[in-house]
Amino acid sequence: MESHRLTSEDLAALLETVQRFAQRSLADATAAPHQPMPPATTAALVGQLLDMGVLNATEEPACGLWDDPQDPLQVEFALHALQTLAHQSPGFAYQVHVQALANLLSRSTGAPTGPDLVVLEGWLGLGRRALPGTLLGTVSGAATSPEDAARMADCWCLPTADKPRTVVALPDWSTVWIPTWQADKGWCWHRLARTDLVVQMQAHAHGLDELVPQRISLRAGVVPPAADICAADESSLHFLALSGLYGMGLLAIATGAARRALAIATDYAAMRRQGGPLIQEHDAVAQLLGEARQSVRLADTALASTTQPTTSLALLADIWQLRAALHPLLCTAASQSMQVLGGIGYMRDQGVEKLLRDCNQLRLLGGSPQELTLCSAQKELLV
Amino acid sequence: MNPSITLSNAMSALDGHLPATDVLSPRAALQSLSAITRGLMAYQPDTLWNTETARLPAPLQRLRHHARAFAQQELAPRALQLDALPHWPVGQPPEALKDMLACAGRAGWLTDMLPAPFGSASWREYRHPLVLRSCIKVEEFSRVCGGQMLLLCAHTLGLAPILLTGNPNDLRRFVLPAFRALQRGEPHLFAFAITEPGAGSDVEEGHGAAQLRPGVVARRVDGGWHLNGRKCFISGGDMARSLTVFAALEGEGMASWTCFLVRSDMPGFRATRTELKMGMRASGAAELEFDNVFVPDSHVLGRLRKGWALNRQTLNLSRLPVAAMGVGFAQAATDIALDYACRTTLGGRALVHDQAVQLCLAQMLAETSTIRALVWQGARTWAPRQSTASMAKFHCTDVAMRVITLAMDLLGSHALDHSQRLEKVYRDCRLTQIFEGTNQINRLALIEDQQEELLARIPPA
Repeated sequence: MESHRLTSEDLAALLETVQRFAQRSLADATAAPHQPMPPATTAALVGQLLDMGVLNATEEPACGLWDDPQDPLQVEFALHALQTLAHQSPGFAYQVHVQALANLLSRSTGAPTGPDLVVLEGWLGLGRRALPGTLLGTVSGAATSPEDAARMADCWCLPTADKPRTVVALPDWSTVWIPTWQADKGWCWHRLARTDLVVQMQAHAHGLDELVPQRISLRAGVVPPAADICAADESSLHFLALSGLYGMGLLAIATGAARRALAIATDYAAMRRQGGPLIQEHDAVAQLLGEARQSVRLADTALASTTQPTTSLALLADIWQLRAALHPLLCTAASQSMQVLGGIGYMRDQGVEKLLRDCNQLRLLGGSPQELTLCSAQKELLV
Repeated sequence: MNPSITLSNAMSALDGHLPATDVLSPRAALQSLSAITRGLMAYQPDTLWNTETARLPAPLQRLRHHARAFAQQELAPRALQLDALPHWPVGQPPEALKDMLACAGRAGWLTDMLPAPFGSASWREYRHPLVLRSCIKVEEFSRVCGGQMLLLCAHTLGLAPILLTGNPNDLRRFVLPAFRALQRGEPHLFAFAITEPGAGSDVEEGHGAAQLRPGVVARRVDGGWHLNGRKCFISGGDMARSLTVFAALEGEGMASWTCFLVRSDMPGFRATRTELKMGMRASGAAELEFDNVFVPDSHVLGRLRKGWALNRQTLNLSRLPVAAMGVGFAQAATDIALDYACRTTLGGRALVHDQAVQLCLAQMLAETSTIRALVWQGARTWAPRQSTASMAKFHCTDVAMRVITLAMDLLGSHALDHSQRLEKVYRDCRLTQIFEGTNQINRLALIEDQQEELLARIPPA
């Protein structure tokens, strides 16, 4: 795959493009937070990013989101772009993130690119502490006990009616990448056509209102082949790489969402008076805002340090640790921002409550902090 | 913990633990000690819910059982449906909600502030403080549905200023006819109207109120008062037939606050909108408009300029039940997590066998039990102190959110599924950190109430 290394100037120009898009097109579409952006609008805006080259759905790598994770500047671009998009609409940023990862996988495996999705979670999270053993070496399952193998094979089985996978995405898509794990084969990637799947739209979501949670399971009688190139070792590396980028992206999106919540709270505190002074002058409010700022700042620092591709379990565990530590802080930051607004913050037309729900959802996708902590602890035992 | 759960066979055990019948198990080992020791120390296994219920006096044990049964039978089946309905227009609640209110009225849950024959509380129950009874009920209702609970409890809050005036004439004229209607299944609800636009917390604490320009003002007219202005975020204000409305007298400040009994059919009164909220969606938060609403002198509750005192006393009574809401939500989250951990298997093994899962569940159980103890301890009085009520309110609701977060972490992305009820519990509970004074205001209220003690500790200059 040909590399398209960015220069600093390229990076600045690309980020400015994304910033303009977010402040104009995306901001207009998300002006009423209590009315989620309709799927058609979201899809049209995703189309604009494709036209702009920010999202690359072609078979050749370019300078789009997650096009070249080996290039630190491209990674920096992706993380900044996702934050910028999430500042206006975390759901939109999530959709773009997942599409970009699916495109990356398609290009890496030589599969046709398109409006694909990728699922990086089993039917029950990550399989708890059994996961790290399957990612340790090049030999599948080398470090996996029989009990862990049973857990992994269960958690990462092909989706069935009673063990479906969940995608959170726009309702209209055609193919999805799904990883599975089996004791005798290790990791395996499947590119499943929607026509081979039963898709159940879920009517209510906790957050990311712009998207629809969908339970997917294989239609009866469908036996999907593994993608041609996916030998176990290579599949394992793809899983490592994509899981790392997915986690970094989730953290970036949550950071963008929390930063927006903080901005709304800061503006409100500079306007609302209580007992005479502006509420920003009350210690109770200053403390809430101060702590929220600290959390966002910590996430910024962490994101700036994670521009390395995840080529090993150790690097993936670093991301697990960062996510486990920072997502709860970002949720707290969004919650503290809501608290500054008081009763108004609880109302859906103010937007902060949505950002809190979004942060909360992002905390739980791709492994909850508890599970990520267990996984990273297990990795220490194995390495 | 469901009180109806049949306990498992003592021969079995979770991974990492001994069965109760093993000779090394503490309970089995106890059997080898003397009869006296066994008599003093032995106990039978039981659910935590039953163990804690047994600590209450018998009438309150019955109340707890009744409240749970009503919540399970009437509130639980409607909870997710009401939460997911589109926002309904003001004054047009869904049939499911009207049915629930009629059931609650007939069952006596809307008239239990007074003993029979005036209200529906038994005299045995009535020997115990109103706030403790209220906390027991609120916890059970919250555990099942925050929105329906709030609608039922906002009614109690609306009645509180009338009850606090202690005026038998007001009880006879305003409360008893409404109670008769409620017991027939007619929804004559009350609401408590203090909050004004742009001044949420100002009316919850004295320092803010001292600087506040009142938003609803009463102007003297022949035979009564004309109310003008707006109130906002009034729980149940869109469905209430009677409202206890706090207004300043024209030309005076907040010290003149007076409580007026306003009927929803009085000309000039209107519920203009209800808010689209994050949670507690079965209960409307209404904006109320007062346009020259004539309130006769006979509808002034207490006396003129006694509104602030009534408001603060009401908050002392209502903040403990808000703490109890936190307990109910924490219990809901704990119960959901327990069920999930026991019913979900991975690799053929229930999640509850994992030590990490057991640690998480233990933390949830302990935190929930601890905040319940704080509420029950604080509510064992007819006149809770401001410090006690505020402390319980902010601490229990903050802890409840932590418990819910733990439960969500345990369920992972399954917690996001509406049908699991946990994400609704999260959204519902989040309001308890805000209303009845934000938790920051309540922290300061605790300090305000302990000023004498703190001032005495300052060394003289």
